[in-house]
Formats: sequence, structure tokens, C-alpha cells
Amino acid sequence: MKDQKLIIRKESSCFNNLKWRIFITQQIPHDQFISQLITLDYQEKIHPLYPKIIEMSHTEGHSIIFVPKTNRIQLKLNIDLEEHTRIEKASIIAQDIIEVFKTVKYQG
Amino acid sequence: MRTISKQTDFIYMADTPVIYHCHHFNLFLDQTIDDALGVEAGTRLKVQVASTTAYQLLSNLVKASGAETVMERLELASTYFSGMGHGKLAITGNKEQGKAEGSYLHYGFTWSQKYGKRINRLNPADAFATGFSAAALEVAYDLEPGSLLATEHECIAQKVKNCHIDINKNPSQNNDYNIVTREDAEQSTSDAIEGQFEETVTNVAKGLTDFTAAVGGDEERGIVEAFGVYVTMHLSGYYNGISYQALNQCKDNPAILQALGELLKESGHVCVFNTFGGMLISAEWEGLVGKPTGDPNDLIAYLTAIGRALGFGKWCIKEFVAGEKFVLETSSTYENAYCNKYYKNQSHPSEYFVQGAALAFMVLIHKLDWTQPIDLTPELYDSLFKGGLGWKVEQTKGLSTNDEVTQVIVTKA
Repeated sequence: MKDQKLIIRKESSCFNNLKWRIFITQQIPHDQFISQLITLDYQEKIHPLYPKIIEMSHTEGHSIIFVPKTNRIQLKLNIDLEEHTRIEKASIIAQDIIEVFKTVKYQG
Repeated sequence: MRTISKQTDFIYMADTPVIYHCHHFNLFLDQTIDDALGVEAGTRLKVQVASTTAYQLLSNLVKASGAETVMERLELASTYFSGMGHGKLAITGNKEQGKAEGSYLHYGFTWSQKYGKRINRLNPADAFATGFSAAALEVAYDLEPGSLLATEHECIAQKVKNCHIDINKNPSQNNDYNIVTREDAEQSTSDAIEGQFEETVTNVAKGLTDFTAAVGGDEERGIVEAFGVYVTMHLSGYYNGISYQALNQCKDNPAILQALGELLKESGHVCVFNTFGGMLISAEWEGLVGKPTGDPNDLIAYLTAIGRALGFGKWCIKEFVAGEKFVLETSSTYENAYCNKYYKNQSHPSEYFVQGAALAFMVLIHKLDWTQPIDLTPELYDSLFKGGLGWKVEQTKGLSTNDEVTQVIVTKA
């Protein structure tokens, strides 16, 4: 399994470091996306645009949006997180996701 | 309770005209009114219009839901206030006085998010919630509209934790009840037309409309975060009432009148840049339509579709030549619904928002590189819209001047 080169950057139009984009280069099958995030204590929420958009929410209050068509992953932090902690928190969450997707079998 | 007119693409909540706007537009418009009239007169107008239009909405909701008791009606008011993305508002009181406690109120909260670090605000920001509170008590107790007057004393935008509103008997008993009903709105339009790329516009608008049907204020805060902005379902009567009544109040001062018109046009820039632009670069858009490639023909269709889906009217692309010209035509505008009833036979077309929006379409299409990541920052806005737009807009026909359609033409400056 190749190592994932994961890039995280602040999402466009983001307020106060709340939204981040996580880049994963290889296409993730959406059922595996869901099952892997469940192992990290995420729960699936029914997004109004499901299945075009998958939304997973964490018990700590942050959530992940995944667009299967374009492989876009958006992290939305809990708004109650103190602002000075958000960048670090986003990095930690992204790192957790890197680790879990190292175990995924990718297409292509 | 949300319905959409097939003829006009107008949106109604319990038969009350509504549209979707983001916090950038909301804050900009409220500030514009204060700039034109002064804070005191501006706040007075905004609260009064909010109270009137909220009274209309809440009366219709009570009729539709059958809410009978005071508690039921106040609960209904709070529920819909939050559901429409305006925050949390708890209203209590009797026929003569009351109070409202607000948290995450849209205007105050988003103002504090956008400006709070840099600016100390002197005055409360939640004129809409303030007027709404008064209307909620009036409807709860079957009082006449304008019987009560609310004042916001503390606001999150002034760096306090929550917002506090007092409600008392209205000493001036303002009986102006300028509302636009569903019938008024539908009758202010002409026969629907179609334009270029109609299939794309219709399909994308439908997808967005279906999506927004499921969107509402979150349970915890009563606000809607979508497309990188805070969205409200808001009362078109509020926007129109404050805009056109402010214009009317300024009519004897040509300099202020002109400046106000320009700012109302600029509100279209603010909305298109932040809301429309935010939608095009959002994860939701990628899921629904796909990532924009930068093809101008696609972009003009997408932007037009967004206008329809947000309830602005049945906007159509009469003509589009990339790099040269855009003619937007429509048989319905939310602005004219108000003008047609209260400011008929205008001397010149005055649908300012659609003028600004059409021009902003061309700026976004031609000045942004859609193949690269786009960050919709205030700095980018200034670079696009301040100091040489490269485009100019003229409204050549107006439903507000009894033409068959509203037509705006954007060409190179």
C-alpha cells in the first residue's frame, strides 16, 4: 500500500479557521470512506444531497463532508473550539484520517 | 410551508414572500440604510419594517398551523425564526410589554464574526430580530400590527454574550402596514420567458431548490452554514421595505439619493461575490453539479440558475457573448413585487439589486481563474470591484416602469 500524501489547507471563505480541505490523491470508494471513519468514532449523517455528498459527524462536534465524484474532503471544526486551538486541532484530525486511509484498498 | 411558484420562481413561506440571502449581503444592506438615514432613523425604519413583515409571516403561520394559545404562537415564532436561520430567540410577555433573549442572532453574530476583531461596535445590530420580537407578541395576543415597539439594548456585536430586547407599548402607534401578499407578488409579473442555456439553468435551479428545501437552522444555534456563508431565508418585504422606503425618505436630497442607489446596486455585487461565488466553489456544488471548469457559457448558466433558486425571480439569459455582452431578462423580480404595489409608475427602472448582480456575473466569469483554487476574501472582492470594474450595466427596461420585462445589459466599460 502506497503512503498517502495528504495536504490540508484552509477552505475558501472559511471563517476563523473553522473549515479545512483535506487532499487525498487517490480515489476513495465511498463505502470505504464511511466504514473507515466509523472506526474513528464518526457517525453517518444523512446529508440533503446524499449520496452525492457523504457527511460524517464526530462525537467531539466536528464533521467531515466527502464528495465521492471529486474526492473532495472538507473538515468542519466545532464552532465552540477556541480559535487559537483550531489550526492544531485541524492538523490532528487530518493526521488521524491519514492513518486510517493507509489501510484502504484504492481503485486504479 | 415552503412553496415555489412555477410561473415566477418566487418562494413563499406560508404564502409570505421570502428569498435567500447571505450574511454579507444582510450586513451590507443594513449598514447602507444606516449610512443613508443615520443610525437612529435607520434603526427605526429597519425595526418598523421588520415588525410589519414579520407580523405578516407570523399571522400566516398561525392561520396555517392553527396555533391558538399564546404559548403555541410564541413557540411557533421562535421555531420558524430559527428554522429560517436567524438564530435563537426566546420571547415572553403580555399584551403591553415583554422581552426577548437572543443567541446567535444572525446579524449580531455574523457581524461579530466578520468585524468583531477589528471594530468596536457602538449600536446593536439586530434590527430584524427586534422587530420580529414585537410582531411575535402582537400576533400571540391578537393585537394590531404596530401596537408594540421593541428595542435591542445589548447585542453580541457589542461583545456581550447574548442579545437582549425589550418590548413595550408603541407610543406612536404606527399603523403603516405595507406588505406584499402572494397575490400581489404574482400579479407584479408578466408572462414567463425563456432564454439561452435554458435546460441547464432549469435543471441546476431545480437541484438547488430541492437542496435548499432541506436546509434550515441547526438545532443548537438556529443558523445555517452553507456554501461558506451564513444563509438566511428572509422576508423579501424586509429588504424591499427598508430599501425603497429609505429611497423615498432621501428623495429630496439628490446626492444621498444617488449614493443610496449606487449602494443598493453594489449590494448585488456583494451578494454575487459571496453567495453565488461561494456556492460555485463549495463542496455542495461539487456534489450537485461538479467543479466549474471556467467555461463562460457554463458559468453564466450556473449563476442565472442560482438567482432563480434563491427566489430572486425567473432570471433568463437573453443574450450572452463571452467577453462582450450579457443581457439578463426576467418576467419577475422580487424588487418589483414591492414597487408595483407602493411605488408604481416610476420614472426610471429601479431594480437595483438585479443591476448589480448582472454586472457582478460578468466580473466573476471574466476576472477569476476558475481552474485554480479561489479564496473569496475581502481583499479579492476589493481587487475585483473597487477601482475599475471593466464592465458597465444599464437597466433598459423595468417591470417597475411598466415594461413587459426587466432587462439589464452588461457591456465592456
